Amino acid sequence: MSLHELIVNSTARHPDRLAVACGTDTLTYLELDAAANRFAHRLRERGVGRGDRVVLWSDKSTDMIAAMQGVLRLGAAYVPMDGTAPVARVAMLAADCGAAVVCADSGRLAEARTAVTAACMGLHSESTVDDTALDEPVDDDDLAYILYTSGSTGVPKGVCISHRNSRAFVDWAVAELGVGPMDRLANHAPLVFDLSVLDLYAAFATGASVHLLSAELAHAPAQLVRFLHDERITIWYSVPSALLLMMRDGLLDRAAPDALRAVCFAGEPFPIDGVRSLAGWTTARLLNLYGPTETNVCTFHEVTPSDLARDRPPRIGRPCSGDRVWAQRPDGTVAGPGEEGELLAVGPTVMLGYWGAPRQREPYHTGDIVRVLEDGSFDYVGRRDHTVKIRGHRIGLGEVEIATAGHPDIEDAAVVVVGSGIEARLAAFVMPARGRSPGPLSIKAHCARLLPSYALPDHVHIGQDLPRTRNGKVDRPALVRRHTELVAQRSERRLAAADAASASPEGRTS
Amino acid sequence: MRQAEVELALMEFIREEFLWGDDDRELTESTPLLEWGIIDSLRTALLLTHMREKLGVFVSPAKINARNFRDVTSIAALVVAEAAVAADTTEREPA
Repeated sequence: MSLHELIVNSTARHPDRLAVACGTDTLTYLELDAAANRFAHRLRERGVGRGDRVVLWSDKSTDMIAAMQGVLRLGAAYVPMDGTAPVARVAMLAADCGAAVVCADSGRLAEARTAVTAACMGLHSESTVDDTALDEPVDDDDLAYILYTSGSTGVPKGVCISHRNSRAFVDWAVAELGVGPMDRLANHAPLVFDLSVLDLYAAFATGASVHLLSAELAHAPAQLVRFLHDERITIWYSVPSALLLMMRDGLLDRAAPDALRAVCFAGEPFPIDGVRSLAGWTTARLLNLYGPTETNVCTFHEVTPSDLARDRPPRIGRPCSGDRVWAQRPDGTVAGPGEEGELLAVGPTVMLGYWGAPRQREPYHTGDIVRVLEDGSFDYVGRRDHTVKIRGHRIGLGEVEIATAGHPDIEDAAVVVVGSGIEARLAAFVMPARGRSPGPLSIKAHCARLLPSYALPDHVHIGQDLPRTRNGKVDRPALVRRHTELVAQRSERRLAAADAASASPEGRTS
Repeated sequence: MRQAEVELALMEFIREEFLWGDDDRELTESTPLLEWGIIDSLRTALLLTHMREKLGVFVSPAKINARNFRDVTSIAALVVAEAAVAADTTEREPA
């Protein structure tokens, strides 16, 4: 059982079917299989073998998908990095996981070479490279990939997923969704986000095709709606915020495409009004999938008419993927119907552990508080700690604060979430060092060298002090209120300026 | 549609909507917008809506990539090119 045998098997059965499409680039299974072998040969020439880690730094592309498969075929593990990730972060994480090679697309290769100590290699393989089959045997517990997530302590954590972990989830998803060779799956999530695992590997397991959406398109609603129709997508999977944006910008104006038969969502609660609109628009199955990166998807729920009558987001449902999950009360006992507790999970999809930390042998504590319903399924209630989620991305505020305060002109910084749902944003409040006056853009530029793009502060407020609670901690609710005041002041000023402009003759003619 | 005019319109929009007016005038035509988190996918959506409504340009999904949204200069070049394509198509369509 390996993750990469999926494509090998589908190539034997469906060599000429479309495997992956990205914009106008497409690969059939035969072409993807050959491209994966070429990439594996190039890596092997550089000494990569079983157990090694290979960082892949690129925008989404067919080359990127072939590279992921090439790494696996050597018995090695891939570590995907978004094309938008800053080079310093790539270098830091490559060092953290002891990467044997860092591969980048042609536009990033030179930059990678300046910052990374490991060997660097281009992602694209010329067609002249040897493409004979490579297929190193792997054990079920061998590492397949590492996904780095934002840690609450300020240091990114590498979630280590084995072939068994990934296959347990993929095999469940293929069976539950009844995926077949005629399916066309959208890939909305970034490749560093575990949602992408379903899109790619449920397609590869069955000879279906996966259609990649670039990072910039991921929240461009009108374009997403067009993509859904034009690419004749049958299975869609994304964070609810993407679907909400699409509904606000044209999704519901056109009849649902006949081909669409399942819409899956995960990463954050889906407000019930949005679910109702979606259910009124399409007859496709609607499925809520739940699970932090550390567990893959460990519970799920298919939306039923009775869910639409409830006044809260769809439940996260019952265990799946062969996992066992339960809610644990603060006293350590198992919560019963009507009670709340932290969700714990054990089973085949639960990660090997964090990179560099001991193997995960205990049940995994998700940090998510759930309520047990009468039928034994679960409702999501909230988080235990100070990690936040913005449009499905988990962000440790501590990591953002440390990065911001590291700017040479800044003495102290605090970061809060303002707004909610799809409008949620990070606001940084900074206290400049004596005699310094850093500009907001220079602070963004500084953070961009250290943090993934989804964790960059959106609003930067430069002030003289940070409000403190009586015990000396930063008063976060006060900062949220301050942000709201600043927004109100700015819109008043803009209104006044607009009035002044329309009142003056010059304003009228310009 | 001229490149310089589109650049100006985009600068104005980005300053007002995403940078609190940019009082320090830090934004330039070559500021890396995606890399510094000035625009992200959500704000790209707002920018695309703005281009559609104010400039009448619908950007085709295949053109929405990191290279074309790198900075104000590249977005303006994209808008000018897409407007030219649209004008060309309209001309060729039979009346």
